[in-house]
Amino acid sequence: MSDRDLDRLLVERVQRGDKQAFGLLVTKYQRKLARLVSRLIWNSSDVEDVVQESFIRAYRALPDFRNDSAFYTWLYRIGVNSAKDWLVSNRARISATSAVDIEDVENYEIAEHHRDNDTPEEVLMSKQIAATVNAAVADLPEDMRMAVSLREIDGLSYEEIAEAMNTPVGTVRSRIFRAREAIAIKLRPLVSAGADKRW
Amino acid sequence: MNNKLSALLDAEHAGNDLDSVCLALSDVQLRSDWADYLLIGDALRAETKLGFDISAEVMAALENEPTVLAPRLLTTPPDAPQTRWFRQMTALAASLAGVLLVAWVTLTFSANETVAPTIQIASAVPIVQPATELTSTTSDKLPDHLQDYIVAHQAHSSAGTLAGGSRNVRAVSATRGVP
Amino acid sequence: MIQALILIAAALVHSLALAADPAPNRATADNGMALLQRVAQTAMTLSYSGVFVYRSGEREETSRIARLVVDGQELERIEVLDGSAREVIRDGKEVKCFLPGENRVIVERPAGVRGFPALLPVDLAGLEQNYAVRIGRLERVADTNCQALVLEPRDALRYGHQLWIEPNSGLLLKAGLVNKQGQVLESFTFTQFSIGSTFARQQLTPSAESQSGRVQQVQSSEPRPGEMKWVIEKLPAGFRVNKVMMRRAVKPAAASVTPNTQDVVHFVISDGLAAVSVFIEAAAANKPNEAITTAGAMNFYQRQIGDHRAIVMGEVPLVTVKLIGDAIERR
Repeated sequence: MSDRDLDRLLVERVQRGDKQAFGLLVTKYQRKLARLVSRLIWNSSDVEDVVQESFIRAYRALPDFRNDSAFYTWLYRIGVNSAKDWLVSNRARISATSAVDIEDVENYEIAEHHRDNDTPEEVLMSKQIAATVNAAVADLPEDMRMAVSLREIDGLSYEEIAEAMNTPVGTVRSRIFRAREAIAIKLRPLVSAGADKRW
Repeated sequence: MNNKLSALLDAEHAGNDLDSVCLALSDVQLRSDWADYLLIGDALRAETKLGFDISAEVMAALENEPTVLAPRLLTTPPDAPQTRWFRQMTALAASLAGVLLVAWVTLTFSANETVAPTIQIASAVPIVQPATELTSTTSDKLPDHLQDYIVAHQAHSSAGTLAGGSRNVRAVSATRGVP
Repeated sequence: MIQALILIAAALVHSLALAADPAPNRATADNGMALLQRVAQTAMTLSYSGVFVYRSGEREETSRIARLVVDGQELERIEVLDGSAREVIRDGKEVKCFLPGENRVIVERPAGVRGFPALLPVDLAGLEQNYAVRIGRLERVADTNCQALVLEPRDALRYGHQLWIEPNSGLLLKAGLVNKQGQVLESFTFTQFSIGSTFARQQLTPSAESQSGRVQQVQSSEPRPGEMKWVIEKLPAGFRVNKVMMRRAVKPAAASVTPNTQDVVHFVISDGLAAVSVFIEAAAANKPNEAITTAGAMNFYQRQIGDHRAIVMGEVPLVTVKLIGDAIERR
C-alpha cells in the first residue's frame, strides 16, 4: 500500500462519517501546508489562520473529493486558494484582468522566494526540536538508526529496507517503531509545552 | 497499538490496523504519539516549521461542522412516458432552476444572517491598473430590493441564456485557450 | 448553476443539430451531449418528490421538493427544511418566493419574455468557445455509479460545471460549480428521490404562515422606444447582452402591498452558460462608490454612476462582474 492509498482510506473513513480520522490527516499535513502557505503569506499568525481555514474548507468539501486524485494534491489546491483568498480580502494587490491569478501565486512560489517569516520563538522551537531529534537519533543503536533513517530520510519501503539491511520485514517494522519511541521519549518534554495546540 | 500506529504512518500496516487505530482515536496519548512520530520524520528531513501545530484548533472547529457523509439515493423507476425531447429539456431546466433558485436565495440572504464580507473599493480605479486599493468590511444583510434582484436574476437567466443571436465575435479573439 | 442546467437543455438541441453533419473532433463533446439528452428525457413530464442538499460556499441546507407535471403544466414547491421556514412555488413561469421570517412574498412574473421552446435554436458554437465539454469517468455518487460530465471553462472569466448522471435512468444526481482551482463553490445533491406523483397534494400548496407576507410583485417588459438610457458594450470575452428589460412594480391592489414604483433597468448577459444580471436603479450617492461582495458561487459588484447605482451579479468570478460593471455607460 502506498502513502496515497492510506490517505484514500482515511478520506473514505471521513466520508463515512468518521470525523476523528480527519485528525490524522490534519496532523500529517499541517506543517507541509504551513510551509506552502508561508511562501505566500508573510505573517506567521496569518499563516496559522489560513492553514486552519484550508483544513476546514477541505473537510467541508470532502464529499466532493474525487479519489482519483491524491489527497495532498487536492489539499494543496485548497491551501493555495485559501491563501489567495486571504490575500484578496486583506488586500495585498488586485491586478486587473487576471485579478489574483493562481498561476502568479504559484510562479512566485516556484521562484524560490522563500522567506523565513517565522517569529524568533518559532525558529528557536524548530531548532530545539531538530537538535533533540538528531541527538536522540545519534544515541540509537546502529540498526535502529539505520532503519529509521532509510525510512524517513531516504523514503524506502519496509521491504526495501529489509533488503538493504538483510533482515526480515517484521524486524524492520519493529526497529522503526522502537526508534520512534526512543526519540519520542526525548522529544516529549519539549513538545509538552505546546500540548494545548495538539489535537 | 503504537507499533500499529508506527506502521500505519508508513502505510505499512496490516489489514485491519487502520480500523483499530481509528477506533482508538479518542485516546489523547495515541493522537499525541501519532503527532510525535510525524514530527520526528519532519525533523530528520530538516524541515522548517517544526513547532507549527494547529490540529487542536482545527478539530475543535470541526466539532461544529455537520458530519460529512456520502448521501444515499432512493430511486424508483420512472413511470412517465417520454415525449419530445425539447419539452423534456424544458422541464429539466425549469425544475432544477427552481431548486437552485430557492436554495440560493434562502441560503444566501435568509433573515438575520449576514452575507460574506464585502470588499469596498475605496476609489474608482480602472481595472487595468494593478494597484487598485481595496479595503475589507463586513456588510449587513443585503437590502430587500437586492433580494428581489436575485430572484429576478435567477428567473430570467434561464430564458436569457437561450436567447438567440449570432455568436459574439469578441469571443473568438479574446478567449484564451485551455493549456 | 441554473445556467448550467439550462445549457444542458441547450446542448441537447445542439447535439441533434450536429447529428446530421458531425465533425470528426466532436465525438467526445457529442457523446456528452447525448448523455445530457438522456438526462433531459428523464426530467420532462416527470413528477417527483425528493430531498436535496444544497451547498453554497460554507453553507448547507436541506430542502424538500415536490413537482407535478400535468399536460405539460408544471407546478413545483420547494420547502427549506433547515432554519426558518422558507419556500418557493413555481407555477409555469411565475415564481413566488415566500420568506415568512421577513414577512415577505416576492413574485416574479416575466412578461413579454419568450420562454421555452421558442428560444431553443441557440448559439451553442459560442458556448463551446467558452467551455470544453468532456465526459468524465464513472464515479460513485450517492452509492450509485454515475457518469461524470465536465464543462470546463476555457479562461478565467467563468466557472466550470460538473455533473453526475445515473446512466440507467438519466437522473442528474449531483451538480457542482467549480472554480479554476477545482474548488466546488456550489453543489446540490439529491439524498432521496421518488418518481411519480404519489405525494400528497398539500405538498404543493404554500403553508398558511407563508401566505400572510406582504407581496412584492414586479412585472418585466421590453423598454419603450427611447426609454433605455444605458448601454453595455465593452463586455468581457465571450459575454453578450441577451436581453434588456424594464422592471416595473405592479401597482398595489391592497394596502398591504408595498409599492416600489421605481423602474429599474435589467440587462441579462450571458456567455451561453453563465448568466450575469445588471440592474440599474436611481439612487443617491450615499454609499461607497464601488463595492464587491461574494456569496457562495455568486459575486456582486455595485457601482455608483452619478445619480444611479448599478448592481451586477452572477455565478461568475469576481473579475467578470467587475469588468461588466465597469462597461456600463450612459447612452
